[in-house]
Amino acid sequence: MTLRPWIFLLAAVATEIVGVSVMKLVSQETAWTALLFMYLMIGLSFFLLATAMEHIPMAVTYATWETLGLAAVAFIGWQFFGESLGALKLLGMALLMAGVVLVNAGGHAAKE
Amino acid sequence: MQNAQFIHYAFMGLAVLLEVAANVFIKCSAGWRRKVWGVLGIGCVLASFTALSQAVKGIDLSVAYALWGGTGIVLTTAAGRLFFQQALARRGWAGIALIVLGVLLLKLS
Repeated sequence: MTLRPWIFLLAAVATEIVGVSVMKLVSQETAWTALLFMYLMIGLSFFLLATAMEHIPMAVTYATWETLGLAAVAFIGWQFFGESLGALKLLGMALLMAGVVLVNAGGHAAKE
Repeated sequence: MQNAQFIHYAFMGLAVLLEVAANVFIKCSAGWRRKVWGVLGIGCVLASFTALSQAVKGIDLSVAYALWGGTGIVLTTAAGRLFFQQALARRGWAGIALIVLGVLLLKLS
């Protein structure tokens, strides 16, 4: 396994996180430049994701992208947008992420 | 969840539906070999994020993103069953159950 597709995958996660953070800023004050920047980041993220998928199994790609993204966005919401992180919320997110991994990892039955 | 109103959840629902459509289109594009479907998929993703940016006016970013990702996966799996005859293994069903439970907990918190 080579390192290159994983760099693409990490770049996809990074652009996703930037895109979602900008999305929150867009929701607070609508600025067209910020909206365009968000589109650029999300578009780039999906392009990188598709590129990574050529070498890494799709299930692994999606699971990594989603769980890392969810964790990072939760952290950013807590740290920079003053959102609370209660025990119930953390538990809910942990269950959700475990579910995402399970669905992606061998979620599909073998085709006959 | 502070000042979340019906309208925010409506945008949230719209964002999830657009995301599922995007996943189906991207699947149809078969790794960019059929470009038109790929472009349609990207278009739906961008529209989905536009709707999501309206939803996070009232819903916490962390909660909104988790709900978006979680319900998106559950519905995409359902779409896969419907359109591509993809069956789910037992592990996949356990995953779906965990996601639903997680979504409920996030709604309660």
